Amino acid sequence: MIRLLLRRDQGTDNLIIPVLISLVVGFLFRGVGVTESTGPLFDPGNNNSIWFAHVFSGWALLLAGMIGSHFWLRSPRLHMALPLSPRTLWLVRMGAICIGCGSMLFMLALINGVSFETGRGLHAIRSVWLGALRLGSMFLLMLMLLQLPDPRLRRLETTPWYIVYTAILWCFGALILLLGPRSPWLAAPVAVIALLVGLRIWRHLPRAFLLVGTEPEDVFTAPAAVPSTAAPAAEAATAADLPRRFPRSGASRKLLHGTLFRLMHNHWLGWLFITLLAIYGLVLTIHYDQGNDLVLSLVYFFVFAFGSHNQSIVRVHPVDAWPISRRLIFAHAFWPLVIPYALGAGCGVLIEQTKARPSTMVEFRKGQVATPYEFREIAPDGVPPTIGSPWGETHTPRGTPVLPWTDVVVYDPYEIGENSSRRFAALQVDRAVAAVHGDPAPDPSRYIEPAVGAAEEETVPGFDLEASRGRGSDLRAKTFALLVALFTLLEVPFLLLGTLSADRRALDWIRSRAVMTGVVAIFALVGLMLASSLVSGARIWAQAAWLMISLRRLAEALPLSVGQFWLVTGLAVAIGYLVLQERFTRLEASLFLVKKKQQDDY
Amino acid sequence: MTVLEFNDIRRAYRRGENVLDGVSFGVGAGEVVGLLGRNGAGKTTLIRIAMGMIEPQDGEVRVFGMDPARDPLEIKRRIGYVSEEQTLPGFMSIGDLIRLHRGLFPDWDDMMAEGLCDRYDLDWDKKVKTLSKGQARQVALLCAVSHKPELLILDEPAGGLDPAARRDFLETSIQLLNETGSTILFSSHHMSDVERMAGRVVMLHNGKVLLDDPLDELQENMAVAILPHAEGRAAELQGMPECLGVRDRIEGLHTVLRLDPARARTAVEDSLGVRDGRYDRLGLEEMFIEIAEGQS
Repeated sequence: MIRLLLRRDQGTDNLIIPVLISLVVGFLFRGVGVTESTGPLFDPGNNNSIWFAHVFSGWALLLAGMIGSHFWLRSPRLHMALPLSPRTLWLVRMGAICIGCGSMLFMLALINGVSFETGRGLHAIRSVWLGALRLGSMFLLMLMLLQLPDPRLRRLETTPWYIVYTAILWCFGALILLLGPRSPWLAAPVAVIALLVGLRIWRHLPRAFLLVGTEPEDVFTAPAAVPSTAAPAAEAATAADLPRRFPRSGASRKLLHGTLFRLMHNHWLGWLFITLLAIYGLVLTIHYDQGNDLVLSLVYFFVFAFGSHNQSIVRVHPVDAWPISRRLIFAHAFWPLVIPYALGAGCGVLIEQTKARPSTMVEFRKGQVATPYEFREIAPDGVPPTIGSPWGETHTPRGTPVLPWTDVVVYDPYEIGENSSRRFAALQVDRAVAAVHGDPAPDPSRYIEPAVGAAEEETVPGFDLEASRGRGSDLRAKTFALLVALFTLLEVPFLLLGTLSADRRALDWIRSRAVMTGVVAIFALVGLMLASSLVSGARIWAQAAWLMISLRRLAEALPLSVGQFWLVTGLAVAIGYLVLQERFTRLEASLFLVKKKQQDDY
Repeated sequence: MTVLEFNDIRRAYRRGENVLDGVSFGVGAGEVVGLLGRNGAGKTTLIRIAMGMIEPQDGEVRVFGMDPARDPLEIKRRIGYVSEEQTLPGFMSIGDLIRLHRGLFPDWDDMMAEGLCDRYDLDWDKKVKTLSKGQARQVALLCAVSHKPELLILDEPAGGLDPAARRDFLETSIQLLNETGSTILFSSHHMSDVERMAGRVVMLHNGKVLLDDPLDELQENMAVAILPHAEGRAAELQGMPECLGVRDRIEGLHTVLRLDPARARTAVEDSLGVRDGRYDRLGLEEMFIEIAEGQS
């Protein structure tokens, strides 16, 4: 029976979904180039900022997993009728949550903890596993600390205070991970403390869990309302009382907006989405690595938008009978996702502009030039052209395969060879700066006589990146505008597919199969990308780069200004919004989905 | 004047499985119509179509002469709706919920809302999620009727309520009916509720309208004939135009006929030649069971 309960628990039921998500996140980290340029995920050997980014991502994923498994439930209501003690029920729940979240962490570590090197073949990166072990033990401690309040209750009351307590605990855990010693041995005492806390809770569990009066489920057990013998309507109310209770219409409008917002977004998943979107908005504009996270940030935005959009179809049910325009409801479902993203991006811009040393788009580090992906190039025949210099020095860049079993490679035209001279490096940096910022090609005569006394680490003879600090790039802005338009064009049909699958009118077998085909095709594409990075030299980051390069080439070819590009993109987004809005206005809030959600809330 | 009109409505959730299969009937102004049917007969689907929450795949629905799919707001403003499936936002206090409804409905009657609040002894500051099921239903009714709707739609409104709460709910509805003269369409599995409220009964079975008659006419002109078993008799009975269903029971064949007992006896004796049958008048509950079972 315990095995059956474990299998059917919210934490382990549909385990494949969180595992797939962590698989995708892990591959994204690895594939988009983060791990290749910075080191593997959770590797304590990484520098502080990288360790921060990795721990933050892993920690956020574990939080999402914990929320998804409804950690506030000590026992489902139905299980209370089984001949099992609350201690057993609680252990089953905790076990299921640990299995679910542990699987996510394991997948993340697995993807990043296995490396392939020519000559060595596949081998494990031990430090990654030790890093994951630290994360796992800290997660266990957080889970136990979150279970501390009133062990008598079968369900922890998710009051605002409890949510604040959760947030503080979670941040505290992240701080310990980030600032504490990175020794893997730290996992042992943390795990011991977690077990002691767990033991304390276990000892305080009651003989039978209590239902709390404030939980929604309890309404079925509450005493029935006694019919009132109060005076009839007209006598009971006095006209003088009415203005106090019935405010002006402006207040009711505010109430309506607040109600719709809370209905759509005021739940764990909603706030998680909003927080993450704000962070990904920030990541979009604040200086981070080479700005190669544009694709990743947008992918996250649209993934969360999709999740939230599908949630809103179910959540519309309580207000479906009210005379409220569906357009208004759609706006409340949509804008709270865009606004945090935009605010995050705005904050990023503000931080960048107020920094003492603004970032550069072109960087020179570890003897290599780093540019955003879109400034790389594609070699369809698999042979990158040789880069020459006025003085005859040459270098042939390495190509990274885009797709398996094809010759197409992505290469960096500003790459510097291991044996290249400092003059060549300077030429490459200047070329990169000119390409990114749209400046004229550098004058070859500059490199004939190398500069003397270049003391700074980032300075080589003939160039100075300080001059490009804080400078924008029109071409990059245009490319980004096209990227947003492209994602909108992809996202809108995807969202429509989601609504179609939820819509019980979609009876026609062709449409039903179209939904399934679409979903299967997307998963197949992602699977194919992941598989290609495993079985061949193709890399996901190269596929992202290939997309960005194509968009940059298109941006170069179109004779439009940055403003015009954004106007076109704005138009595409507006059309997408209207299409989705029109679909939303005619969408049926399926009773099937509502009932399913009520079952999930058990 | 017809307030609500269904014309050949068809609706399915799965291919080839019509929940509603050509439903047609109308509800006139001031009428109280009880919608009956077994679970899955299509009552909720029909009501949701009237509310504009879902659309039929075929057929036409008119509420106040308008199409609910095209003018949902205008229609919803003139309708009060309470459903067993309905969930009010749990995070709202009763006061906020009432204030919100006041803003949504132009004809909101503050005095009526206050009066119902006092009658039900509702605490304005209490959150909806902390209410008992009965109290939550009372709040839903308050919100549904305080704007004096022209059409009140109740979908299993008393489902899950204890007898006292159910009685109170019905009394309020009847009182409102008397005060405002609203048209009411309600579905229920409690036949006693239907007998207390409805003037007309529409029974759905397998997605079709099986009965659509005034309640007193049904009670007058409906009989069950209990006839001895015989080879092929069930088929013969089903062939009678007045037959609504035949049930094979231990004591004999239970046959529901749309005739009063005396005329039912004559009809059976004339057409089948069976003289040893027993003929009784039917209460609404027995009628429902006999017809529903006899049809399946």
